[in-house]
Amino acid sequence: MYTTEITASPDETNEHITYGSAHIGGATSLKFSFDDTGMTILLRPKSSLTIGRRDETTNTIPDVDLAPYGAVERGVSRQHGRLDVAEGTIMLTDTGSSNGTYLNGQRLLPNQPRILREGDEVRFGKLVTHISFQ
Amino acid sequence: MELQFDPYSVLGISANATNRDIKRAYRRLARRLHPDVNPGNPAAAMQFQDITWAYNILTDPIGKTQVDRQIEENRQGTNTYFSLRVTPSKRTIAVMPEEQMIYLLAELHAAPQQEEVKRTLTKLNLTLVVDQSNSMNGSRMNRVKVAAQRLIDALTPDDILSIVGFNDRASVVLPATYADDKPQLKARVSIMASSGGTEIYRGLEAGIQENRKQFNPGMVNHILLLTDGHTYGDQERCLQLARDANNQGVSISVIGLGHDWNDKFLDSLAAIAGGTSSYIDTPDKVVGFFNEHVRSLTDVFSERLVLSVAPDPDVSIEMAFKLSPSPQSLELVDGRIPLGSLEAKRSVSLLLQFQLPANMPEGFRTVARLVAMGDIMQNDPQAFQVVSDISLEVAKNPHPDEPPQAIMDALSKLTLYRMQERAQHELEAGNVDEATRLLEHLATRLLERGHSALATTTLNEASQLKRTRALTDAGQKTLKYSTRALVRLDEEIASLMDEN
Repeated sequence: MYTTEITASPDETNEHITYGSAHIGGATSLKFSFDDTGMTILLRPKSSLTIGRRDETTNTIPDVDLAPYGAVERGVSRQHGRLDVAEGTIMLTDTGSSNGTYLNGQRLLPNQPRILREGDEVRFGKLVTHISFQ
Repeated sequence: MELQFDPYSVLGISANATNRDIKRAYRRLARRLHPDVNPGNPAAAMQFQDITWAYNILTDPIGKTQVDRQIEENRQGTNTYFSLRVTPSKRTIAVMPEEQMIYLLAELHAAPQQEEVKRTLTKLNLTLVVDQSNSMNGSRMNRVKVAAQRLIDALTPDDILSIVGFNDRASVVLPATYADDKPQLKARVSIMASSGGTEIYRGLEAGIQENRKQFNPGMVNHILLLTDGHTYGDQERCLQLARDANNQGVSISVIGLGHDWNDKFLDSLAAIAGGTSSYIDTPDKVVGFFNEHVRSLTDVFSERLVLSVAPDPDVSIEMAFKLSPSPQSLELVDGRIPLGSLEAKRSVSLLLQFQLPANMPEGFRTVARLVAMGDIMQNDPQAFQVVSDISLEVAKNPHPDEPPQAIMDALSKLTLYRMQERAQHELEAGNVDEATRLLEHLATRLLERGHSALATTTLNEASQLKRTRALTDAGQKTLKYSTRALVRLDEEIASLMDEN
């Protein structure tokens, strides 16, 4: 099992944004655990992070690249979703992906942010991940 | 162009979707909702019409331009919304050689209101339909009159009230009128008298007629029916009236006063008409009930709320039960569950039970598509809807996944209500011993959970049943409505879920 750490959206590295403790209880990181591979991603989201799969030909480089986790086979779009930190909560938004983003089995409508909670199951296309705060 | 719903969200696609995306989304949904694969599934048929409408308008270049312009205008407006959150009891389902159940907890929340904007009370077009039969004579009628007069005090001059009394026939005590001359209204109430039998159809018909005279989509159009007796031979016609009334935007709540009325019939009537049913054992509680009922009506955020439930072709819906604000069995009317009102500060939550087919292949599969529709009082246009599409993973050896606390809690409480229901059922079938056994078991379970008073009542009824082979009318209703009240979604557990 290996963990990738992604610190921030590239243009925001120097800006320090702290969480409100309301929802994530003083945790500083968001962990994505992938069921299939047992791999994890540790994120420290600050303001906004795009999620998708890196594609050199179209020059798409998302902040969180899911390509190493089987994104292509599992139908993750190049620009699939976005994470935003707002008022101490982390919001997940589907940004018009082809195969959808599912939060605990409920399909997210594009561009309608939803709050992420500890233990949530998030599915990008057919790529299943579980969320925990650390 | 007046755009009722956002066709993009109907198809679950984003506003910058290409023509190919639109076609793809439509085909995907049409495979599940097409009438050919869904015989006898009216919700699917209706939702199919919706997606076809959305597809047609978005694939027409002129239509699409108009839609985009309208959506942009709406975005700049002040319209608010409600949300629908659906949580499944399992996120991964095991492959099984037999059919299996899954539960969905559906919660409707009004959008958070801005603090600085003081919400105005929702205007009412309220009709009281009051049983004036002989049995109402005395303290019952007196308390109802006091309750009605207090209710008149609580109304604003912009509210509309009508009152219909009924026994074997109906009489309009107060034609639908603005509540601006309160002494006059109260005087009308004070001359109500009781005599004769109970024929609910007459009263309901006249009540609906009065309510319709002043029907106003900007108001809560509501009928409150109070009775203390059985109605004979007109139940089917009453249910039909209720269905029609609700289709036209009028909701009906019922109160059974005392213990000599038909609870099954009145529960069903209220469920069909998007209202609540309540058991009031003694007349002195009527005043408080009216008060609370009117308060909740004036706090309505969204009215004429229905949930359209379209299970996938191989899935069926088995049960729908409202957990809060007032627990009760729900009815599917043409694939739609009438829900009545959504209050600004109290969410509506319900538990849906679905049966999934045997031998599902591994992979991801959709289960059902839910659409909540309602009129938001402060919006212009009022009509609003939100779609929730449920899709789960089927696997050979799924991760052990505890159902969410709120669903576990609701199910264990619902078990008590159902145990009571089963006891009644066994009793009706003549199986007194089995009914007694179930009641004794229920008493034990109630005691375990700390409901000692109700446990005692249940035990008393069980021994009554042994002796006389029947329940007391009062005991039967107390058991039913008290176990029903227990099902209310625990707010602490619900908010825990929010915090997590």
